[in-house]
Amino acid sequence: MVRGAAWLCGGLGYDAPMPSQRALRLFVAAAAGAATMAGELAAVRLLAPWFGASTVVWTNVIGIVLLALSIGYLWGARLARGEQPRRVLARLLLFGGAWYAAAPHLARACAALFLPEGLALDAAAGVVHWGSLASAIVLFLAPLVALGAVAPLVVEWWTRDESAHAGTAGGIVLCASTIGSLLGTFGATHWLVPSFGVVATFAGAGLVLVACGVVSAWSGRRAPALALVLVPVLALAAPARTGPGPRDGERVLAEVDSPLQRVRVVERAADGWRFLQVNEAFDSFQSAWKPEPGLLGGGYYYDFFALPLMLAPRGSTFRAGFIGLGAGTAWRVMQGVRPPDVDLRGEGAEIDVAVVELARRHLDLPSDDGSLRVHAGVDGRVFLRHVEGTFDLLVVDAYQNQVEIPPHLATREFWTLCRAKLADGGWLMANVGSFGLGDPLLEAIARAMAAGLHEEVRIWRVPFSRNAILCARRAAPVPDPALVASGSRELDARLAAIALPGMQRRISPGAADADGLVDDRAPLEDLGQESLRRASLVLRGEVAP
Amino acid sequence: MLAAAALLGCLPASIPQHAAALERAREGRHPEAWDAALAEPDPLLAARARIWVAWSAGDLFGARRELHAARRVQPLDPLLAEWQVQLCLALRDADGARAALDALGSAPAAEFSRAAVEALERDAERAEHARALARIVSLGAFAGAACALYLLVRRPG
Repeated sequence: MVRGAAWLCGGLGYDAPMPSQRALRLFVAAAAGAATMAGELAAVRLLAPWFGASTVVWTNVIGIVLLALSIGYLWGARLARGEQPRRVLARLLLFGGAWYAAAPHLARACAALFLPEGLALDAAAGVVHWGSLASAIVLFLAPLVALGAVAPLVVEWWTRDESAHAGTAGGIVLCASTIGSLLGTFGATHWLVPSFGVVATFAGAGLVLVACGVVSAWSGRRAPALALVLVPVLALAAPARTGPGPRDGERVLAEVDSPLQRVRVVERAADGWRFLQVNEAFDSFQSAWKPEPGLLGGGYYYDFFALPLMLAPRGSTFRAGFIGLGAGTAWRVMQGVRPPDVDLRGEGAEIDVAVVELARRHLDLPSDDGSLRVHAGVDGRVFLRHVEGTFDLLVVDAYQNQVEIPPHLATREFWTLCRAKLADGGWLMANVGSFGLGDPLLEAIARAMAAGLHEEVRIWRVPFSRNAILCARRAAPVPDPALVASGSRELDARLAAIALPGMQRRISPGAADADGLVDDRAPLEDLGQESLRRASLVLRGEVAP
Repeated sequence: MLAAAALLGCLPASIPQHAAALERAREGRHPEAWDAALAEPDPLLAARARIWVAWSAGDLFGARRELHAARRVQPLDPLLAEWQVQLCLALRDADGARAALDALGSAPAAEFSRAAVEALERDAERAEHARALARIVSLGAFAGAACALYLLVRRPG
């Protein structure tokens, strides 16, 4: 670092009378930059168990960071006029570091204030936007203002100590700060959060800032007193529980922070069922598991994915592909109902490696039994583009941040790619969370699917659920659900329920789709917001579902 | 992956006196049960049967559609009133549940559902309070930040 600082300054035509001082200044600037970016990324992860990690939450956090930095820059400029900018700098670093270390411990109380626990999705949906914004303000505005003031103070420190030009000092400090930001960005996402967790990331960033503050104040001979700040910071670095606890009658079996989300497995005491939940979860889950493979019944949409297998010709090999495999719930359902003389083979893509690892440990996802091949850490579209052969069934059940469908997995081009991977007569089934057949998000995806697949798409509302299944076949008609004989009375009864008025809808491939979802423009987030707004009206009976 | 654990509730406690529809729906033959309900000459029995068939098929929106239609014709039917409370509860419609509960008066079914309706109202109230608090904090912070920026720009030294 010292040599690097000397090289950097030498390159700018400076002598380096006190290389250690220069290195310290550069390190402080870099540490503040790194802590800012690591804090920004970890902040979303800290809030995710309550508010999710949707684009809205990201926007709120980024907005607060930018607001705080703009205030901090001006405040730092003002503080730099004082007699002892280094002492002020030390105090700000200590304050920011201590607050960072404390933030995860305050998160639960803060989130509970703005998003009471126990609310169902429809009640919580209206609170998430404002709640995440208010939580970001309470938890992160103050320390980030302090960190924003660091750069002007370091510039002032540099110019006073070395009688340097302000522009030169500013350029060097900004460079160091930005390189620090770069390290904080990559370090937080790829190393700190996945390896140590959100709490330790904040604690580590806090400790570094406090250490910078202590060292910066050393010449002021206040270090021993300031070092006392380390004591509470170290205490705060102790493990803290983030995220809401399990519901009554449930216990957490495992909980991890993956690079993408917070993931946990809970077990219901009453019947031993297990659920894999991500981020905010609310009353939903990503995957379900029951002790015995087979149909889940009730409001579980996974059962419908088993229909094509149950209708497969006897003695055949049935190849199923899963985009958004999750913990393999659909696979487990299919295994339980597989006709004995049908050879079931599967390939699935799950983008979150941690989900696959937890599923193998707690939810009986096979490691590699020859029948199911799992592509962990692979995006669904990449999987589809590169997987070999065609499928008799493609299941698309991909969500990000619990409630958002990834736009690139809903466009006309994506469904065209799906068609290319379907065998003749092959089924394409997709799960879309929605509120009724008139849901704007559901309708847009169904139209894109029909246009990309060049086939009629059926929308089936799943009984006792807010989910809908989009169903189509390549070069073959989808059978009437009321007339299907799957071999399972339970599934046939649920299919028959779809035959009632208002439970299904057909979208023809020629349906108008001029403003449809394409790779160039797929405003799924806007449609999702519209869907939630409409849902509150539907649930109150003010709009037909 | 967005799933929901039976979030749309369970079947109503009371069942309609329509043997044909009931039997077919219980066997999972909902289309036939629906046809049986349509064929019922008594309008009240037919309405009750249609609601129950839709409900037992998991189509709570359809059940509510039928219920609203039936209530317009039969506003005083106690079974329909009871179902309206339970349906609103299943759909988490606090306002609708309260209105239906008030319409039930002091009937035994009202006592049965009162606690659930009040819990639903409390949830709605908690959510509203939390949203109001979050708005105040957020808007207050932005206003404070704007003032701070103004003062720092106007009086930097």
